[in-house]
Amino acid sequence: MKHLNIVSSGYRATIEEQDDTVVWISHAMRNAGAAIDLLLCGAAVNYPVRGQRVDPVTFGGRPQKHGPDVHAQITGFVGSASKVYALREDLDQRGIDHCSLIPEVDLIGRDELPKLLCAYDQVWHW
Amino acid sequence: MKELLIVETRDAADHADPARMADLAAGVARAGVPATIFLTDNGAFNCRRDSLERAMAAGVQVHVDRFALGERGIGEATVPEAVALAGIELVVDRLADGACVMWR
Amino acid sequence: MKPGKTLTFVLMDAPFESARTATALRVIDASIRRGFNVNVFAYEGAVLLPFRHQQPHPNAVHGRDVGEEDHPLPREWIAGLIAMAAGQGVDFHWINCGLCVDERGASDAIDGVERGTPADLWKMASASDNTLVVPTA
Repeated sequence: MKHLNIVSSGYRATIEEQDDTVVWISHAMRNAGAAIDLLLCGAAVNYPVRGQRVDPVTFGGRPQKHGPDVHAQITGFVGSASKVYALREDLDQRGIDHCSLIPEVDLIGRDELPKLLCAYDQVWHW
Repeated sequence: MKELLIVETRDAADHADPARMADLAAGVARAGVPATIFLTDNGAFNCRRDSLERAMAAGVQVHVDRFALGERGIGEATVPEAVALAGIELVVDRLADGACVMWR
Repeated sequence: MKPGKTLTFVLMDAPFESARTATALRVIDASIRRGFNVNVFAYEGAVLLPFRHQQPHPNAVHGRDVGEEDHPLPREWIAGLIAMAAGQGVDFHWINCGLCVDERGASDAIDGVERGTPADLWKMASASDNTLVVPTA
């Protein structure tokens, strides 16, 4: 079963969770045998951008040791087993230079979405 | 994909994405796959908006949840003729029929 | 799973936060009434929906005491779904994401709620006729 997870809620609770939970569950499901690709849209199109840095947060005397690294989540997910797509219009709306993305990510236009979605047995829009 | 159903819960007056999802449904319909939008929660307000006309012109069926209409005091008589009234069972039946259902 | 179609749902919103929760539970209720087997995977805040310690309260603005107010509790709605499924003779599984439970201290759930992992979600989805994700708003 070919499966596409659409991630549209970028940076939601990533500091608290120390990762993006939809990318995380996609990774976990892939480890369980699922054939999963990702489509990044909304603010999540920024995930493949290089140079992201989360300054450590400290609340009172309680520092966070492991801040989120959504970029590493994507670089760890993309590869021979899975594709990662990013929506071109959502990049452009946010002024994100396409060259700042890791090259393994495929850009796709809105007008290409119907064809892409039809290629999957399951599409889960998170 | 056998069929697409978009469950739209967001008010298009507050969010830009319902219009984009309607365009996606239109694109799927133009590709020959039946596509439906089911308006519920604050998405019920969208039944009066012109933004769905383009999708409907492309062959997208639009239904609005009777429960959501009642909750908001939207009279069924004020719903445009092109928008069908439906119950929540529509979502269940499409799921059971194997449609791709996206909840937005 | 019992014979017949099986639908799997993923819920994400915490109780009392979003209209989506009640609407999603309406879909689940209608699925059981249609005679379908149902799986629910509660992810993130949704693991608190069946939290055992939810309590009703009086409402002074409404002028009602706790009994008159009869405030709805998601745990009671879920218990109602579990009982209805049993009565209908269909399978109903509510699985809380274990890590999400630990993060939220939500381990004390009502009877019938199981603990699971994303691998369990994948197994359920693979064995189902269809799966619907109800994402957080």
